[in-house]
Amino acid sequence: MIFKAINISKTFPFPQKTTLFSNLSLELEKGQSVAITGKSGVGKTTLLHIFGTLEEADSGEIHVAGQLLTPANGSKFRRKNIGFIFQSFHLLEDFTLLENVLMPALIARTPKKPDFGLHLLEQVGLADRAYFPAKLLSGGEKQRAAIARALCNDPDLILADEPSGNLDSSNAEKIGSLLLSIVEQHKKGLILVTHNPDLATLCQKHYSLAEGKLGISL
Amino acid sequence: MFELTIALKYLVPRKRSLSTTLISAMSILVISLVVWLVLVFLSVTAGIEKNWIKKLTSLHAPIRLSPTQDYYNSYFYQIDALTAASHYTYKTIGEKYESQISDPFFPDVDAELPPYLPPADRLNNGMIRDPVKDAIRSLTMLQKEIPSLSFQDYEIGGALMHLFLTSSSSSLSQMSYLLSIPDQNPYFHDLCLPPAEGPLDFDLPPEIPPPYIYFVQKKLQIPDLGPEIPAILPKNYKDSGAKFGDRGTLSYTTPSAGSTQEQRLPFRVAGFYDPGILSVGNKCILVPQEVSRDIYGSTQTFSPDGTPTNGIFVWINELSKAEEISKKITLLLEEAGISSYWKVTTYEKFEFAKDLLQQFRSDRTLLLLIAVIILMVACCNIISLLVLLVNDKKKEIAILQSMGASFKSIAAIFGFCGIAMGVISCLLGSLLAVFTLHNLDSLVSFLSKIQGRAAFNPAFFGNSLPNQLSWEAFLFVLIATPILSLLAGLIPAIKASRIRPSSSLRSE
Repeated sequence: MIFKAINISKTFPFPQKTTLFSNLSLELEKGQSVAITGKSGVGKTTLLHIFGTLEEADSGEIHVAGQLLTPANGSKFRRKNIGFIFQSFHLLEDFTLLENVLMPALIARTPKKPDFGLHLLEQVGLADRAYFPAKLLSGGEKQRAAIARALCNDPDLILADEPSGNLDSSNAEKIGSLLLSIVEQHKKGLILVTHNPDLATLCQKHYSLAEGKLGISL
Repeated sequence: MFELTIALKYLVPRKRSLSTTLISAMSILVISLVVWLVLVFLSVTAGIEKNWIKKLTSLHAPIRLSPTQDYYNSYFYQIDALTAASHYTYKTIGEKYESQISDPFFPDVDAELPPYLPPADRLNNGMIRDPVKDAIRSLTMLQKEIPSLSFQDYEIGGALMHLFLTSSSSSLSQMSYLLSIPDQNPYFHDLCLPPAEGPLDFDLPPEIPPPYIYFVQKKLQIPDLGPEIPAILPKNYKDSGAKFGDRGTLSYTTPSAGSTQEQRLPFRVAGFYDPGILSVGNKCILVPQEVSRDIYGSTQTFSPDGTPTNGIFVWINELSKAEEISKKITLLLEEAGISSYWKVTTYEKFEFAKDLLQQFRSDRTLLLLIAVIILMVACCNIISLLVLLVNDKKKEIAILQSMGASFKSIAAIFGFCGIAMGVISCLLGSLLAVFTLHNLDSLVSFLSKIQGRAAFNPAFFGNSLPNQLSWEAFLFVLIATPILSLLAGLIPAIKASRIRPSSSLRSE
């Protein structure tokens, strides 16, 4: 088991007490991909952030690679075991693509050679853009670079938040296919939050988040 | 270190973040100006202080050995007034040193000693302890260890001086102090004013010796003026019209069997010197040692500035080592068993210099305190800049956190930014300060021109302001600026580390 969330609950007390989910559980095997869909505001992104320790749950446990995540060791797990892909790409605009891709390794104090970064960029078809500043790239290119960056530290789990949300349909399809093929190729666990039903169906499991519960989507 | 990589990226000015760049440039400029001001000010004041201390210690050596009351009460000192071999007169330190015998009492010649006379301090072998010869021996031993050390005994006497000024055909009279010419003082050359009549320095002894004091390879030569005493007057006499070769007399009284008798010694002006900062400086005439000894032995003189009238001056080339060398001397005197007869004093404790030096020290502390406060205020700019930068980079901070950057790393990025700004400002300010100090004279003359009068009074500051960079001041800004910048960077750094990545990443 690469990922296990047990009885996760989250309530926002302000401005009005709102329970997003209670006692929500999810398990993920190595190489498995899971899509979570749901209406806007049901807490998909919050759930993904909780899975990635970017936000704390009110209760419940999260285990990654067999170890319990706590607020104290969250950053260590994000460095080594978790890769993020965001809807808004979130590249460091003042850095080149290559620097962006290699940044997780730098943060993990295991700097990697440019060749490694170029290899990752090659996998997403951006080797020729390696030395371009991130701000000069198109949305699709940025998202592909974000996928390459998520793979830099060879994490066990990739958490993707609406990876095709800001892309046109053609690019969205390409990014979706690329992400899933890479995950499959590298045997990574993938939890994908999306509005895109086509992308969700490409994943091995598809859950729907509604009224604070995860249900298998048919 | 990725923290450094990110910090450097943030510090590079960018068109996109013009406001941050402008504030950053302003902050660096303000801190640089403060560093410049602090460095120039501290360097000049340190230079002035050094000059004053040099003036204080050039004539009056930085270390002084003066006889204690134990010495004056001792058999060794008192016996001279009771013995024929000493002509029934007290002896100066110099005379004691030159004396062949330590105990001039001969029972066959001298009268029985009075009962109030203390017993002689004798060694195990029965010989009398000689605190003067032992002290000179100790200093000679120390001289072998410290070759730059030199010493000489001195006497201060008093006499009425009449001087005839040939330039104005008038005369002037003044009660004066007579100090023996410090021919062993290595810094005396720098105090002597060059005569208009000829050179002060010679490489070889001149065929016809000039009638004024001169130096052959820096060694003082006192002219032989026959019956006249060569006298070196303080420079204020020169300002009053006295010239080389002017004649005069020194009058003092000597006790005789029935009354006092006036003695007159003719003298001729053989030189002028800069007395530096001595309260009696303008009244202090330098005369050959045998003259000052005679007058000292005849008249009871006291120095109004508290300087002992008889003692040994010790000159060293590094003033900072005065305290250390004085301790060594004390130790040697203790080993010789004569420490109770001598008081070793360093220039910082001289009666006439103590208050001035304490004031210098207080001023220095006050100036450093003011410098720290100004630097702190300047470094506060860093807080506002970095807070702005943190707000600007909230999203990037969250991205870094999502990649695993810890709170400490995020705080370190902005801490580095603070230190880097401090270091850049410090270097820039230091360069400016070096440039300013290099051109200080031009700057002062420019200021004087604007004011229409001398910006700095030469009487207090000398003909030109000191323009050497004070390494102490440089070290101070080099340490204080980055530390204060780091402290200023801490507030934004803590703010940055508290950013919640989740809310920043979804705020689009």
